[in-house]
Amino acid sequence: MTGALETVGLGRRYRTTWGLRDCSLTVPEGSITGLVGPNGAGKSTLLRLAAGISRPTTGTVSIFGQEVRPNFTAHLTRIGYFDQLRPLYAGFRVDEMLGLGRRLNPSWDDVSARQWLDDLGISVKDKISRLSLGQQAEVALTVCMGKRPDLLLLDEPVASLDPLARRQLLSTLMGTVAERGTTVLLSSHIVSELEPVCDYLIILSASHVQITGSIEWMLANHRVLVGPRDGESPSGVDVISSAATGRQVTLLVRGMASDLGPDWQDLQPGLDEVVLAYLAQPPSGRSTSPVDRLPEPGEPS
Amino acid sequence: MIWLAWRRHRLALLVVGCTLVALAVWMIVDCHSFEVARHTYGRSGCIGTLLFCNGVSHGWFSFQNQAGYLDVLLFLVPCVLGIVLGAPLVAGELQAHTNRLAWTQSISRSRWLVIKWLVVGLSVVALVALMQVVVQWWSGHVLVNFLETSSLPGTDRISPRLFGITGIVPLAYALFAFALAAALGAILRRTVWAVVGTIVGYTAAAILMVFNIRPYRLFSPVFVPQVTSPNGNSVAFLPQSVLSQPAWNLGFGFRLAPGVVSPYSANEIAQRCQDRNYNYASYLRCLASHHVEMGSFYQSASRYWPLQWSEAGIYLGAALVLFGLTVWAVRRWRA
Amino acid sequence: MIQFRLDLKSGVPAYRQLVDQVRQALRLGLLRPGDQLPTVRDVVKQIAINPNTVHRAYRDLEQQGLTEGRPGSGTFITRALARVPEQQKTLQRQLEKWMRSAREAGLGDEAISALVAEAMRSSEKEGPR
Repeated sequence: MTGALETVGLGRRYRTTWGLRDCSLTVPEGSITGLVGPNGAGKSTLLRLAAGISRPTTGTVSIFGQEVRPNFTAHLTRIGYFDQLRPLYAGFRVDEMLGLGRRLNPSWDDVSARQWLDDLGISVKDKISRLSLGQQAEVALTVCMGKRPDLLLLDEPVASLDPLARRQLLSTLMGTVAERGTTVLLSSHIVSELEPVCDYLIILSASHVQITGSIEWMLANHRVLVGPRDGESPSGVDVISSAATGRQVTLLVRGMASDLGPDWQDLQPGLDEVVLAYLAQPPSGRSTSPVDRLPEPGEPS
Repeated sequence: MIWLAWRRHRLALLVVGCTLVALAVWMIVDCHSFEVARHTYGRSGCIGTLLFCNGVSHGWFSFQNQAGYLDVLLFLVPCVLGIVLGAPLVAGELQAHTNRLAWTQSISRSRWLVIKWLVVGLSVVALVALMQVVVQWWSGHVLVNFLETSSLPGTDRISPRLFGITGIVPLAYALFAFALAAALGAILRRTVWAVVGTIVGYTAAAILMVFNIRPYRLFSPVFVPQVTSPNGNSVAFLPQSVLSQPAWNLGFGFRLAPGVVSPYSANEIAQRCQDRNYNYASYLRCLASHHVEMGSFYQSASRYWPLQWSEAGIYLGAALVLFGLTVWAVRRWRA
Repeated sequence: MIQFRLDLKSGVPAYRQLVDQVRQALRLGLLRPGDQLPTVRDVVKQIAINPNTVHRAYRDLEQQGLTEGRPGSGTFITRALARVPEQQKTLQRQLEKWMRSAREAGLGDEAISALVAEAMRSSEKEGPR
């Protein structure tokens, strides 16, 4: 199946450093995929490459099977892009921003856009510069969603928003996904924000993809093993991270430990523990290990 | 997109428009004051400076100063307009990152830029054109009376002081400044550098045009040789009035006599004669022996409109090249 | 209409929490056969979670025979869960007796909670009947 977004060997270099490197992944259609990683990991770079604002140094990126090239407009009608900086024209009014969306996008749905803003309590006559940060984010998201895209690319949509604004923005987003089955790729550096909202997760660190998979698969296939420091290491598992204190060692592993001694504990990790373990790993050449592939529906994980 | 380009830049265009209206009003007032002053201070037939007027009171000269300020301002208008509207055209969007908003709507970058450029650029030209109507009238009534070069009517229109602010060239200057500022903004990605770069570039182009291209390269200037005394020992300088028609005095120079072919240029020969002859008479003889004439170059005033069109064409061509450069720079922006 | 809430820290998967909340409401009589469950869209607008989670919860409920989806109308409750108040009173008395024994044995609040949690977990593995 072609994913909503597919990258092959994607990389982007800025003078001497790589913003993103060897990135090969597929975002399944209809999913809500979270892109998680620390600041500077390459999340924004990936999203900008997907939106066509940035041009790749190596590799390709395709949207619904069509390669993205910055000067072709074919993919633009199918995506909505929400930038981290939430650029809006400060001197405009809200209805003028909607007018921008209407005039520049053939598939603009003005009725829905106005309805969303109405539900959020934003008057269309307000000036953008007078709105709060959360309201500006909501207007930016409305402009993004109003063109009824099939793929939404959202760069830190809820960063630095107060809890109420965050809830409102995510509710609006989830509402539109429920209606249309839009594919969403959103980034954050806070795992707890993504967990209730996402089906799939892409973990990025140091410009490389560490692992991708459904959240369910990640929780089912990773365990925390706590045992004696100088005991025998468990076999049949990949150790992702280990921390030793005193007489005890704590391992986060992928896979099922086949024969665990009696002095070992086998615990269920939370999602943020799993993510943290992968983020602590040094970057390595990836995209060949089969577990990095998102499991097909019905496939045993 | 046309709506967006207009809406985005409407404030700048409005400010610029109001400034031009203010200038136009100043010129109209100035013209009226001139008429009043002429009756009060001047005498019939008295035009120009002290050279031609005796017993004129102080009021006349302060009036002259005002005209001078306005004159200088009008020279700056096309360049400033172009910079104000052109520098932020692309650079402003890149700095505010609003290009990330615009380029992810369903419109290509090329279309975005082309429409923006055309809407703003043509507005600039239209505004300057409207103001030119007033400028033309004002300079014809007022400014000509204050220029010191000559009292012959029509002469001074072709002189640099009037040429650059009359006719159609200011439109081409404004479009060029706009195009240069926009291109520099797209390439250098900062409004400030675009402003600085345009000031430097525009000035360099203006100097090149006024001192080299306009006088010598577009149409051959007229040469009026100095009269040499029969014994070849001295020359008489010609008074201006010997010229049978109004003209722009380009200055003193040398040329080879008509029909003479030489591997060296007239200036080279004159330089060598100067180096080898310390006596003025022998210097003149040296020149004569090599068939080099000494005299003054002029551009006839009848060349005014051909020069206007040619110069406007050059600036317009440069603006179009810069337009292409801007489109290219935007298309290859890599973020 | 039932108002869902999500406890992210509980370690229980989100769809399970929704299913449990519907079952709880049925037991307490807050939902009755014929009542309509909120649409997926309304739920995600309330509690900003993935629509697929809600779909899954509703599918689970349908598989358990508690609901049915009517195309064009929504999802409706089809049967009630036994409320058995009498059994509850007996259970409550048994619980109070056990609690007294535990206190007499010297168990503090923490130890009691741990025992209760363990017992709940092992009974959960057997699944609802």
